[in-house]
Amino acid sequence: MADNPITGAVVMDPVPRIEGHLGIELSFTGSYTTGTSGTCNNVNAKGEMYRGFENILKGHHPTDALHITQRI
Amino acid sequence: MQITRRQFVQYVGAAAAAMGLSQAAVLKLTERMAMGVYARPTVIFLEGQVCGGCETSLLQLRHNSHSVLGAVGIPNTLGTASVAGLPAGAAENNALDVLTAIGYPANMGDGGSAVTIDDILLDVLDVKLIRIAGSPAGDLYTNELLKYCDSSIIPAGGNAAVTGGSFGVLVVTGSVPLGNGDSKTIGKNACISASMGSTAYTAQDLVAALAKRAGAVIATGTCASYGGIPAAVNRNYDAVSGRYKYNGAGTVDSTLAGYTGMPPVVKVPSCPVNPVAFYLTVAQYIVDVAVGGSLSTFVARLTSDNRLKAFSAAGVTVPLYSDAIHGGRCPRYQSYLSGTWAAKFGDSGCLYQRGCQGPNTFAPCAVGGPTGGLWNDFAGQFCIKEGAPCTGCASDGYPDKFSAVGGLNTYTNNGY
Repeated sequence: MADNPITGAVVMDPVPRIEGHLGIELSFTGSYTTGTSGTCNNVNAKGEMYRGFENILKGHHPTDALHITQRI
Repeated sequence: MQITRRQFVQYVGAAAAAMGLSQAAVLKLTERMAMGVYARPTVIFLEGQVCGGCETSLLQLRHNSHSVLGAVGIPNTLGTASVAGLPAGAAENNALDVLTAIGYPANMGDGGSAVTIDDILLDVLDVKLIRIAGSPAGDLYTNELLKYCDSSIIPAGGNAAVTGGSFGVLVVTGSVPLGNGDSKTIGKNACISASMGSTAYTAQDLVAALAKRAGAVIATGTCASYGGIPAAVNRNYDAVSGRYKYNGAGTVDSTLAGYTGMPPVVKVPSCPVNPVAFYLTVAQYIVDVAVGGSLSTFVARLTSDNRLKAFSAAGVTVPLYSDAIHGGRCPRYQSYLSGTWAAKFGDSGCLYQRGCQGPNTFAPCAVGGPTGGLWNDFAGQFCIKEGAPCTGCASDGYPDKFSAVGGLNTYTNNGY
Protein backbone atom coordinates (compact mmCIF):
# COMPACT_ATOMS: atom_id res chain seq x y z
CA MET A 1 0.00 0.00 0.00
CA ALA A 2 2.93 2.28 0.58
CA ASP A 3 3.37 2.55 -3.16
CA ASN A 4 -0.19 3.62 -3.69
CA PRO A 5 -0.56 7.27 -2.71
CA ILE A 6 -4.05 8.68 -2.37
CA THR A 7 -4.57 11.97 -4.08
CA GLY A 8 -7.51 14.26 -4.57
CA ALA A 9 -10.76 12.76 -3.33
CA VAL A 10 -11.76 9.44 -1.82
CA VAL A 11 -15.39 8.45 -2.31
CA MET A 12 -17.19 5.65 -0.53
CA ASP A 13 -20.68 5.48 -1.91
CA PRO A 14 -22.84 3.63 -1.07
CA VAL A 15 -22.17 2.77 2.55
CA PRO A 16 -23.69 -0.65 3.23
CA ARG A 17 -25.40 -2.08 6.30
CA ILE A 18 -27.33 1.06 7.05
CA GLU A 19 -30.85 2.06 6.18
CA GLY A 20 -30.99 4.61 3.39
CA HIS A 21 -28.41 5.90 0.95
CA LEU A 22 -25.23 7.36 2.40
CA GLY A 23 -22.05 8.43 0.66
CA ILE A 24 -18.81 9.65 2.24
CA GLU A 25 -16.41 11.88 0.38
CA LEU A 26 -12.97 12.90 1.62
CA SER A 27 -10.75 15.38 -0.12
CA PHE A 28 -7.02 15.85 0.36
CA THR A 29 -4.57 18.59 -0.25
CA GLY A 30 -1.48 17.18 -1.89
CA SER A 31 -1.17 13.46 -1.55
CA TYR A 32 -1.25 11.04 1.31
CA THR A 33 0.95 7.97 1.39
CA THR A 34 0.78 5.41 4.18
CA GLY A 35 3.58 6.03 6.63
CA THR A 36 3.93 9.70 5.88
CA SER A 37 1.93 12.61 7.11
CA GLY A 38 -0.85 13.99 4.97
CA THR A 39 -3.74 16.38 5.25
CA CYS A 40 -7.40 15.69 4.79
CA ASN A 41 -9.02 19.06 4.44
CA ASN A 42 -12.66 18.20 3.92
CA VAL A 43 -15.12 15.39 4.60
CA ASN A 44 -18.68 15.34 3.36
CA ALA A 45 -21.40 12.89 4.27
CA LYS A 46 -24.05 12.85 1.56
CA GLY A 47 -27.60 11.67 1.78
CA GLU A 48 -28.11 10.33 -1.75
CA MET A 49 -31.88 10.19 -1.65
CA TYR A 50 -34.60 12.79 -1.38
CA ARG A 51 -38.22 12.07 -0.67
CA GLY A 52 -39.35 15.29 1.00
CA PHE A 53 -41.50 14.13 3.90
CA GLU A 54 -42.02 17.69 5.09
CA ASN A 55 -43.46 18.66 1.74
CA ILE A 56 -45.60 15.55 1.53
CA LEU A 57 -47.11 16.17 4.96
CA LYS A 58 -48.17 19.73 4.32
CA GLY A 59 -51.78 19.74 3.19
CA HIS A 60 -52.55 16.29 4.51
CA HIS A 61 -54.88 15.63 7.41
CA PRO A 62 -53.05 15.29 10.76
CA THR A 63 -54.08 11.64 11.08
CA ASP A 64 -52.24 10.92 7.81
CA ALA A 65 -48.99 11.88 9.51
CA LEU A 66 -49.40 8.79 11.65
CA HIS A 67 -49.01 6.56 8.62
CA ILE A 68 -46.64 8.67 6.55
CA THR A 69 -43.99 9.48 9.15
CA GLN A 70 -43.72 5.82 10.13
CA ARG A 71 -41.98 5.30 6.82
CA ILE A 72 -39.17 7.82 7.23
CA MET B 1 -19.81 -23.16 -0.54
CA GLN B 2 -19.02 -26.85 -0.30
CA ILE B 3 -21.78 -28.84 1.35
CA THR B 4 -22.51 -32.51 1.58
CA ARG B 5 -25.46 -34.06 -0.18
CA ARG B 6 -27.15 -34.69 3.15
CA GLN B 7 -26.74 -31.05 4.16
CA PHE B 8 -28.04 -30.02 0.78
CA VAL B 9 -31.16 -32.10 1.14
CA GLN B 10 -31.69 -30.80 4.65
CA TYR B 11 -31.36 -27.19 3.58
CA VAL B 12 -33.64 -27.55 0.63
CA GLY B 13 -36.26 -29.42 2.58
CA ALA B 14 -36.23 -27.19 5.60
CA ALA B 15 -36.24 -24.01 3.58
CA ALA B 16 -39.04 -25.26 1.38
CA ALA B 17 -40.98 -26.17 4.50
CA ALA B 18 -40.35 -22.71 5.88
CA MET B 19 -41.83 -21.33 2.69
CA GLY B 20 -45.01 -23.24 3.33
CA LEU B 21 -44.58 -26.25 1.09
CA SER B 22 -46.01 -29.58 2.17
CA GLN B 23 -43.79 -32.57 2.70
CA ALA B 24 -44.85 -33.88 -0.68
CA ALA B 25 -43.67 -30.68 -2.30
CA VAL B 26 -40.49 -30.78 -0.24
CA LEU B 27 -39.70 -34.25 -1.49
CA LYS B 28 -40.54 -33.27 -5.05
CA LEU B 29 -38.30 -30.24 -4.89
CA THR B 30 -35.53 -32.16 -3.16
CA GLU B 31 -35.70 -34.92 -5.69
CA ARG B 32 -35.46 -32.54 -8.60
CA MET B 33 -32.72 -30.52 -7.01
CA ALA B 34 -30.69 -33.65 -6.31
CA MET B 35 -31.08 -34.55 -9.97
CA GLY B 36 -29.43 -31.30 -10.84
CA VAL B 37 -32.51 -29.91 -12.57
CA TYR B 38 -32.76 -26.92 -10.32
CA ALA B 39 -30.17 -24.19 -10.32
CA ARG B 40 -30.41 -21.59 -7.60
CA PRO B 41 -31.62 -18.37 -9.18
CA THR B 42 -29.16 -15.51 -8.86
CA VAL B 43 -30.88 -12.69 -7.02
CA ILE B 44 -29.90 -9.04 -6.78
CA PHE B 45 -31.54 -6.62 -4.41
CA LEU B 46 -31.60 -2.97 -5.44
CA GLU B 47 -32.87 -0.10 -3.34
CA GLY B 48 -34.68 2.90 -4.72
CA GLN B 49 -36.34 5.43 -2.44
CA VAL B 50 -36.59 3.18 0.57
CA CYS B 51 -37.10 3.59 4.27
CA GLY B 52 -35.42 0.25 4.92
CA GLY B 53 -38.63 -1.31 6.16
CA CYS B 54 -39.01 -3.79 3.30
CA GLU B 55 -35.49 -5.17 3.57
CA THR B 56 -35.80 -5.36 7.32
CA SER B 57 -39.10 -7.18 6.97
CA LEU B 58 -37.61 -9.64 4.47
CA LEU B 59 -34.65 -10.33 6.72
CA GLN B 60 -36.96 -11.07 9.62
CA LEU B 61 -38.02 -14.33 8.04
CA ARG B 62 -37.45 -17.00 10.59
CA HIS B 63 -38.92 -20.42 10.47
CA ASN B 64 -41.80 -20.32 12.89
CA SER B 65 -43.96 -23.38 12.66
CA HIS B 66 -46.68 -21.67 14.64
CA SER B 67 -47.34 -19.24 11.88
CA VAL B 68 -45.61 -20.00 8.59
CA LEU B 69 -46.80 -23.56 8.39
CA GLY B 70 -49.99 -22.56 10.13
CA ALA B 71 -50.63 -20.24 7.23
CA VAL B 72 -51.02 -23.21 4.94
CA GLY B 73 -53.12 -25.07 7.43
CA ILE B 74 -50.53 -27.21 9.17
CA PRO B 75 -51.19 -27.02 12.90
CA ASN B 76 -48.39 -26.41 15.34
CA THR B 77 -49.51 -28.89 17.95
CA LEU B 78 -48.66 -32.55 17.97
CA GLY B 79 -52.25 -33.43 17.19
CA THR B 80 -53.24 -35.39 14.13
CA ALA B 81 -56.15 -33.36 12.89
CA SER B 82 -56.60 -33.77 9.17
CA VAL B 83 -56.29 -30.70 7.04
CA ALA B 84 -58.29 -30.10 3.90
CA GLY B 85 -56.12 -29.95 0.83
CA LEU B 86 -53.24 -31.92 2.31
CA PRO B 87 -52.64 -35.65 1.91
CA ALA B 88 -53.85 -37.81 4.77
CA GLY B 89 -51.39 -38.88 7.43
CA ALA B 90 -49.86 -37.41 10.53
CA ALA B 91 -46.57 -36.53 8.91
CA GLU B 92 -48.18 -34.07 6.54
CA ASN B 93 -50.38 -32.64 9.23
CA ASN B 94 -47.74 -31.70 11.73
CA ALA B 95 -45.11 -29.07 11.28
CA LEU B 96 -42.58 -30.72 13.56
CA ASP B 97 -43.14 -34.10 11.93
CA VAL B 98 -42.47 -32.61 8.54
CA LEU B 99 -39.28 -31.02 9.70
CA THR B 100 -37.93 -33.92 11.73
CA ALA B 101 -38.70 -36.23 8.83
CA ILE B 102 -36.18 -34.35 6.75
CA GLY B 103 -33.56 -34.43 9.47
CA TYR B 104 -34.01 -31.20 11.32
CA PRO B 105 -34.00 -31.13 15.12
CA ALA B 106 -37.37 -30.64 16.71
CA ASN B 107 -36.40 -27.38 18.36
CA MET B 108 -36.00 -25.44 15.13
CA GLY B 109 -37.75 -22.14 15.22
CA ASP B 110 -36.99 -21.80 18.90
CA GLY B 111 -33.42 -20.66 18.46
CA GLY B 112 -30.44 -22.96 18.19
CA SER B 113 -30.51 -24.57 14.79
CA ALA B 114 -33.52 -22.70 13.45
CA VAL B 115 -33.83 -22.17 9.73
CA THR B 116 -33.17 -18.49 9.32
CA ILE B 117 -32.92 -16.06 6.48
CA ASP B 118 -29.29 -16.92 5.75
CA ASP B 119 -30.29 -20.45 4.79
CA ILE B 120 -32.70 -19.06 2.25
CA LEU B 121 -30.45 -16.30 0.96
CA LEU B 122 -27.48 -18.58 0.44
CA ASP B 123 -28.84 -22.08 -0.10
CA VAL B 124 -32.21 -21.70 -1.78
CA LEU B 125 -31.40 -18.50 -3.60
CA ASP B 126 -28.04 -17.25 -4.75
CA VAL B 127 -28.10 -13.68 -3.50
CA LYS B 128 -25.24 -11.72 -4.99
CA LEU B 129 -25.93 -8.27 -3.64
CA ILE B 130 -28.12 -7.01 -0.83
CA ARG B 131 -26.76 -3.69 0.29
CA ILE B 132 -28.45 -3.46 3.66
CA ALA B 133 -26.99 -6.79 4.78
CA GLY B 134 -23.87 -7.15 2.65
CA SER B 135 -20.34 -5.99 3.28
CA PRO B 136 -19.18 -4.53 -0.07
CA ALA B 137 -19.11 -0.73 0.01
CA GLY B 138 -18.36 2.05 -2.39
CA ASP B 139 -16.54 1.02 -5.56
CA LEU B 140 -16.54 -2.64 -4.54
CA TYR B 141 -20.32 -2.67 -4.39
CA THR B 142 -20.79 -0.65 -7.56
CA ASN B 143 -18.29 -2.73 -9.48
CA GLU B 144 -20.17 -5.91 -8.59
CA LEU B 145 -23.49 -4.30 -9.44
CA LEU B 146 -22.27 -3.15 -12.86
CA LYS B 147 -21.38 -6.72 -13.79
CA TYR B 148 -25.08 -7.45 -14.07
CA CYS B 149 -26.05 -4.25 -15.85
CA ASP B 150 -26.95 -4.14 -19.50
CA SER B 151 -24.29 -2.08 -21.21
CA SER B 152 -26.75 -0.57 -23.68
CA ILE B 153 -28.40 1.29 -20.79
CA ILE B 154 -25.41 1.96 -18.56
CA PRO B 155 -22.29 2.36 -20.67
CA ALA B 156 -19.41 0.23 -19.51
CA GLY B 157 -17.01 3.17 -19.53
CA GLY B 158 -13.59 2.16 -18.33
CA ASN B 159 -14.92 -0.65 -16.21
CA ALA B 160 -13.57 -3.89 -17.63
CA ALA B 161 -15.60 -5.88 -15.12
CA VAL B 162 -18.85 -5.24 -16.98
CA THR B 163 -19.75 -8.59 -18.43
CA GLY B 164 -23.42 -8.19 -19.24
CA GLY B 165 -24.30 -11.64 -17.95
CA SER B 166 -27.92 -12.57 -17.41
CA PHE B 167 -29.24 -13.61 -14.03
CA GLY B 168 -32.40 -14.79 -12.29
CA VAL B 169 -34.37 -12.27 -10.30
CA LEU B 170 -34.03 -8.55 -9.69
CA VAL B 171 -35.67 -7.47 -6.45
CA VAL B 172 -36.41 -3.76 -6.31
CA THR B 173 -37.46 -2.09 -3.07
CA GLY B 174 -38.52 1.52 -2.90
CA SER B 175 -39.92 3.82 -5.53
CA VAL B 176 -37.85 5.01 -8.47
CA PRO B 177 -37.76 8.73 -9.21
CA LEU B 178 -37.99 9.30 -12.93
CA GLY B 179 -37.03 11.80 -15.55
CA ASN B 180 -34.59 14.65 -15.76
CA GLY B 181 -36.56 16.97 -13.54
CA ASP B 182 -38.43 20.14 -14.32
CA SER B 183 -39.85 23.11 -12.52
CA LYS B 184 -41.89 20.90 -10.19
CA THR B 185 -39.95 17.67 -9.87
CA ILE B 186 -36.38 16.75 -9.07
CA GLY B 187 -36.37 13.65 -11.24
CA LYS B 188 -34.04 10.70 -11.22
CA ASN B 189 -31.30 12.51 -9.32
CA ALA B 190 -33.51 12.27 -6.22
CA CYS B 191 -32.10 8.79 -5.76
CA ILE B 192 -28.48 7.79 -6.36
CA SER B 193 -28.16 4.07 -5.69
CA ALA B 194 -24.47 3.58 -6.42
CA SER B 195 -21.37 5.51 -7.42
CA MET B 196 -18.08 4.69 -9.05
CA GLY B 197 -15.53 7.38 -8.45
CA SER B 198 -17.18 10.58 -9.58
CA THR B 199 -19.82 8.77 -11.66
CA ALA B 200 -23.20 8.51 -9.94
CA TYR B 201 -25.73 5.89 -11.02
CA THR B 202 -29.36 6.76 -10.44
CA ALA B 203 -31.93 4.23 -9.34
CA GLN B 204 -33.78 4.75 -12.62
CA ASP B 205 -30.79 3.80 -14.76
CA LEU B 206 -29.80 0.90 -12.53
CA VAL B 207 -33.29 -0.61 -12.40
CA ALA B 208 -33.58 -0.50 -16.19
CA ALA B 209 -30.06 -1.79 -16.79
CA LEU B 210 -30.40 -4.65 -14.31
CA ALA B 211 -33.94 -5.57 -15.36
CA LYS B 212 -32.81 -5.93 -18.97
CA ARG B 213 -30.63 -8.86 -17.89
CA ALA B 214 -33.02 -10.39 -15.34
CA GLY B 215 -35.39 -13.33 -15.80
CA ALA B 216 -38.02 -11.59 -13.69
CA VAL B 217 -38.33 -8.44 -11.64
CA ILE B 218 -40.04 -8.46 -8.26
CA ALA B 219 -41.30 -5.04 -7.22
CA THR B 220 -41.17 -5.49 -3.49
CA GLY B 221 -43.34 -3.36 -1.24
CA THR B 222 -45.88 -0.69 -2.07
CA CYS B 223 -43.30 1.93 -3.09
CA ALA B 224 -41.77 -0.23 -5.82
CA SER B 225 -45.21 -1.50 -6.87
CA TYR B 226 -47.28 1.68 -6.86
CA GLY B 227 -45.12 4.58 -5.70
CA GLY B 228 -46.27 4.46 -2.11
CA ILE B 229 -45.31 7.13 0.39
CA PRO B 230 -42.69 8.91 -1.77
CA ALA B 231 -45.34 9.32 -4.48
CA ALA B 232 -47.81 10.94 -2.09
CA VAL B 233 -49.18 14.26 -3.23
CA ASN B 234 -46.88 17.18 -2.52
CA ARG B 235 -49.19 20.08 -1.76
CA ASN B 236 -46.35 22.32 -0.75
CA TYR B 237 -44.91 23.25 -4.12
CA ASP B 238 -44.18 26.92 -4.22
CA ALA B 239 -44.80 28.08 -7.79
CA VAL B 240 -43.38 31.52 -7.13
CA SER B 241 -40.01 30.58 -5.74
CA GLY B 242 -39.85 27.15 -7.37
CA ARG B 243 -38.92 25.61 -4.03
CA TYR B 244 -40.13 22.42 -2.38
CA LYS B 245 -40.01 20.31 -5.49
CA TYR B 246 -41.72 16.98 -5.66
CA ASN B 247 -39.23 14.11 -5.71
CA GLY B 248 -40.62 12.52 -8.88
CA ALA B 249 -41.26 9.05 -7.48
CA GLY B 250 -42.38 6.46 -10.00
CA THR B 251 -42.83 2.71 -9.96
CA VAL B 252 -40.78 -0.15 -11.35
CA ASP B 253 -43.43 -0.56 -14.03
CA SER B 254 -43.15 3.03 -15.17
CA THR B 255 -39.34 2.81 -15.08
CA LEU B 256 -39.37 -0.05 -17.57
CA ALA B 257 -42.25 1.29 -19.67
CA GLY B 258 -40.01 2.97 -22.23
CA TYR B 259 -37.97 -0.12 -23.01
CA THR B 260 -38.61 -3.18 -25.09
CA GLY B 261 -37.69 -6.75 -24.18
CA MET B 262 -38.07 -6.27 -20.45
CA PRO B 263 -38.97 -9.24 -18.19
CA PRO B 264 -42.31 -9.46 -16.35
CA VAL B 265 -42.65 -7.32 -13.23
CA VAL B 266 -44.28 -9.11 -10.30
CA LYS B 267 -45.66 -6.92 -7.56
CA VAL B 268 -45.60 -7.88 -3.90
CA PRO B 269 -47.18 -4.83 -2.28
CA SER B 270 -47.87 -3.86 1.33
CA CYS B 271 -45.96 -1.52 3.56
CA PRO B 272 -43.62 -3.01 4.56
CA VAL B 273 -43.63 -6.08 2.37
CA ASN B 274 -44.95 -9.26 3.93
CA PRO B 275 -41.91 -11.56 4.09
CA VAL B 276 -43.86 -14.77 3.61
CA ALA B 277 -45.78 -13.37 0.64
CA PHE B 278 -42.45 -12.37 -0.87
CA TYR B 279 -40.77 -15.73 -0.34
CA LEU B 280 -43.84 -17.60 -1.55
CA THR B 281 -43.64 -15.53 -4.72
CA VAL B 282 -39.99 -16.47 -5.06
CA ALA B 283 -40.82 -20.10 -4.29
CA GLN B 284 -43.44 -20.05 -7.03
CA TYR B 285 -40.79 -18.70 -9.40
CA ILE B 286 -38.48 -21.56 -8.42
CA VAL B 287 -41.20 -24.18 -8.86
CA ASP B 288 -42.39 -22.80 -12.20
CA VAL B 289 -39.25 -21.42 -13.79
CA ALA B 290 -36.15 -22.83 -12.10
CA VAL B 291 -37.63 -26.33 -11.75
CA GLY B 292 -40.44 -26.34 -14.29
CA GLY B 293 -38.64 -24.26 -16.87
CA SER B 294 -41.73 -22.31 -17.91
CA LEU B 295 -41.95 -18.57 -17.40
CA SER B 296 -45.40 -18.48 -19.00
CA THR B 297 -46.74 -20.84 -16.30
CA PHE B 298 -45.51 -18.39 -13.70
CA VAL B 299 -46.94 -15.36 -15.49
CA ALA B 300 -50.32 -17.09 -15.89
CA ARG B 301 -50.64 -17.15 -12.10
CA LEU B 302 -50.60 -13.37 -11.82
CA THR B 303 -53.54 -11.02 -11.44
CA SER B 304 -54.28 -8.41 -14.09
CA ASP B 305 -51.94 -6.01 -12.33
CA ASN B 306 -49.21 -8.64 -11.88
CA ARG B 307 -49.62 -9.81 -8.32
CA LEU B 308 -49.44 -13.50 -7.51
CA LYS B 309 -53.02 -14.72 -7.01
CA ALA B 310 -52.02 -17.71 -4.92
CA PHE B 311 -49.02 -19.84 -4.22
CA SER B 312 -49.66 -23.29 -5.58
CA ALA B 313 -47.44 -26.36 -5.58
CA ALA B 314 -48.00 -30.06 -5.01
CA GLY B 315 -51.64 -29.65 -4.07
CA VAL B 316 -51.02 -26.87 -1.54
CA THR B 317 -52.61 -23.54 -2.25
CA VAL B 318 -51.99 -20.39 -0.24
CA PRO B 319 -54.22 -17.51 -1.35
CA LEU B 320 -52.20 -14.31 -1.63
CA TYR B 321 -53.47 -11.30 -3.55
CA SER B 322 -56.70 -12.78 -4.91
CA ASP B 323 -59.00 -11.89 -2.03
CA ALA B 324 -59.79 -8.77 -0.05
CA ILE B 325 -58.83 -8.67 3.62
CA HIS B 326 -62.51 -8.09 4.36
CA GLY B 327 -64.22 -11.47 4.43
CA GLY B 328 -64.35 -14.73 6.27
CA ARG B 329 -60.68 -14.63 7.26
CA CYS B 330 -60.91 -11.31 9.06
CA PRO B 331 -61.09 -11.92 12.83
CA ARG B 332 -63.72 -9.18 13.12
CA TYR B 333 -65.89 -10.31 10.21
CA GLN B 334 -68.58 -11.74 12.48
CA SER B 335 -68.95 -8.31 14.07
CA TYR B 336 -69.41 -6.85 10.60
CA LEU B 337 -72.14 -9.37 9.81
CA SER B 338 -73.94 -8.70 13.07
CA GLY B 339 -73.50 -4.94 12.81
CA THR B 340 -71.37 -4.58 15.93
CA TRP B 341 -69.25 -1.51 15.26
CA ALA B 342 -66.28 -0.20 17.18
CA ALA B 343 -67.36 3.28 18.27
CA LYS B 344 -63.82 4.30 19.16
CA PHE B 345 -60.34 2.83 18.96
CA GLY B 346 -59.90 0.14 21.56
CA ASP B 347 -63.45 -1.14 21.23
CA SER B 348 -64.20 -4.64 20.07
CA GLY B 349 -66.32 -4.94 16.97
CA CYS B 350 -65.86 -4.22 13.31
CA LEU B 351 -63.55 -1.32 12.53
CA TYR B 352 -65.35 -0.31 9.34
CA GLN B 353 -66.68 2.89 10.86
CA ARG B 354 -63.19 3.68 12.14
CA GLY B 355 -61.99 3.91 8.55
CA CYS B 356 -61.02 0.29 7.93
CA GLN B 357 -59.99 -0.24 4.31
CA GLY B 358 -60.25 -4.03 4.43
CA PRO B 359 -63.02 -4.16 1.79
CA ASN B 360 -60.86 -2.19 -0.67
CA THR B 361 -57.57 -3.93 0.03
CA PHE B 362 -56.48 -7.13 -1.66
CA ALA B 363 -53.66 -8.58 0.41
CA PRO B 364 -52.89 -11.80 2.31
CA CYS B 365 -52.72 -10.20 5.78
CA ALA B 366 -55.59 -12.27 7.18
CA VAL B 367 -54.59 -15.54 5.52
CA GLY B 368 -53.91 -18.18 8.12
CA GLY B 369 -56.90 -17.42 10.27
CA PRO B 370 -57.01 -16.81 13.99
CA THR B 371 -54.17 -19.17 14.93
CA GLY B 372 -51.72 -18.45 12.19
CA GLY B 373 -50.92 -15.78 9.71
CA LEU B 374 -48.44 -14.72 7.13
CA TRP B 375 -46.93 -12.07 9.34
CA ASN B 376 -44.95 -14.89 10.81
CA ASP B 377 -42.78 -13.27 13.41
CA PHE B 378 -45.79 -11.80 15.10
CA ALA B 379 -47.65 -15.06 15.50
CA GLY B 380 -50.24 -14.11 12.94
CA GLN B 381 -50.80 -10.60 14.22
CA PHE B 382 -51.75 -7.91 11.79
CA CYS B 383 -53.33 -4.46 11.96
CA ILE B 384 -56.98 -5.44 12.31
CA LYS B 385 -56.23 -8.15 14.84
CA GLU B 386 -54.36 -5.56 16.90
CA GLY B 387 -57.37 -3.26 16.81
CA ALA B 388 -56.09 -0.88 14.17
CA PRO B 389 -58.17 -0.38 11.05
CA CYS B 390 -56.61 -1.43 7.76
CA THR B 391 -54.99 1.59 6.12
CA GLY B 392 -54.96 0.08 2.65
CA CYS B 393 -51.18 0.03 2.46
CA ALA B 394 -51.14 -2.73 -0.19
CA SER B 395 -53.27 -0.75 -2.63
CA ASP B 396 -52.45 1.40 -5.59
CA GLY B 397 -52.87 5.00 -4.50
CA TYR B 398 -51.76 4.56 -0.91
CA PRO B 399 -51.54 6.85 1.06
CA ASP B 400 -53.45 9.64 -0.74
CA LYS B 401 -56.38 7.49 -1.83
CA PHE B 402 -57.01 6.68 1.81
CA SER B 403 -56.28 10.12 3.16
CA ALA B 404 -58.74 11.94 5.38
CA VAL B 405 -58.60 14.84 2.93
CA GLY B 406 -60.32 13.92 -0.29
CA GLY B 407 -59.75 10.21 0.24
CA LEU B 408 -61.66 7.25 1.57
CA ASN B 409 -60.58 7.54 5.16
CA THR B 410 -63.54 8.11 7.41
CA TYR B 411 -61.82 8.95 10.70
CA THR B 412 -62.89 12.57 10.43
CA ASN B 413 -66.45 11.62 9.55
CA ASN B 414 -66.87 9.53 12.65
CA GLY B 415 -65.72 11.67 15.52
CA TYR B 416 -62.00 11.74 14.83
